[in-house]
Amino acid sequence: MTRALSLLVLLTLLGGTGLAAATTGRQAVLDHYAALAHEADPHFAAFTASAGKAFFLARPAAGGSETPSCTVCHTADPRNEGRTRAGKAISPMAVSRTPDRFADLEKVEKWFGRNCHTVYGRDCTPAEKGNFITFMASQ
Amino acid sequence: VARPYLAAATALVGGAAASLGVVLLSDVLVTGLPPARLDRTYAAECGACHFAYPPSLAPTATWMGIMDHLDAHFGEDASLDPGAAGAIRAYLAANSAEHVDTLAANRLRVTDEPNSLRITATAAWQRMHQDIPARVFAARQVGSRGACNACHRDATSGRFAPQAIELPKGVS
Repeated sequence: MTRALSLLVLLTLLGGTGLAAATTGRQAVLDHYAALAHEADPHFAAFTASAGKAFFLARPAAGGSETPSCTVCHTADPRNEGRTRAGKAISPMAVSRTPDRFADLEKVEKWFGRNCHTVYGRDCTPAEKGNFITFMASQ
Repeated sequence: VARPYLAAATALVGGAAASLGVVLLSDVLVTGLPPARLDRTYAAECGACHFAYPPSLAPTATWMGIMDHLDAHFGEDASLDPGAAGAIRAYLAANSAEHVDTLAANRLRVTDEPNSLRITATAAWQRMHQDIPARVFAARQVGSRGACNACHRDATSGRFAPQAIELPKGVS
């Protein structure tokens, strides 16, 4: 009993550490984009979830013909599991469902780099990336 | 005289040696058979979006054609950093259909449609799957024509034995 309890405590602590690391990582990613956004526009104030939401739900139809919007693969609710066009499951974008999302700048840059081209037909701006992550962190 | 400790020690050492042998031997290439495991970088990068096709399912020319246009990868930008792309290229070239003697590799080695880099668009693939209704590939449990592993239970190994084919539950 005591043993099971201490194991539970240990696991909770470990889980908490991982979660804290992800939160710190995500904040570092946001800070990085905030610095770039400020560089591009001295009037930049802060990222907003509402702008991120609009960006996510938009239908630019400017990239690949089969990927007119983010929602084609991720669905319109980021708390849902998505699906690649090849049929593979994508874990939800919402941070509440996938807590380690957006915590690794290299990974975040790799996927924005690819998917902004695929859906928007161009690079995303630092402000768009920051708004997107802010929206997903609120979901 | 019974020597239980000696017997136990012998069993332990023998068992450990055998286990180590199995682990080491599983990475030794058998002529004509695909390697037991997919390359780690390949499996992680390519398997992020789709089933990581064993390299033996296409000839080197097809793989190099795919790697040359990762920024326009069947409708998506799948660009990789140069380091990962180089490693994956080398792995594909060394393990493509030309190097393997399985039924699937032998059928798919032919580049009958030089303009198509899709394995599922080759005449050989189409012929082998002609009796499968479109609804099977569209089923949620399958996902797409490229989800080999949905029905081929041994797909990751690259063997594709006829007796390892089984439709997912609820699909017919």
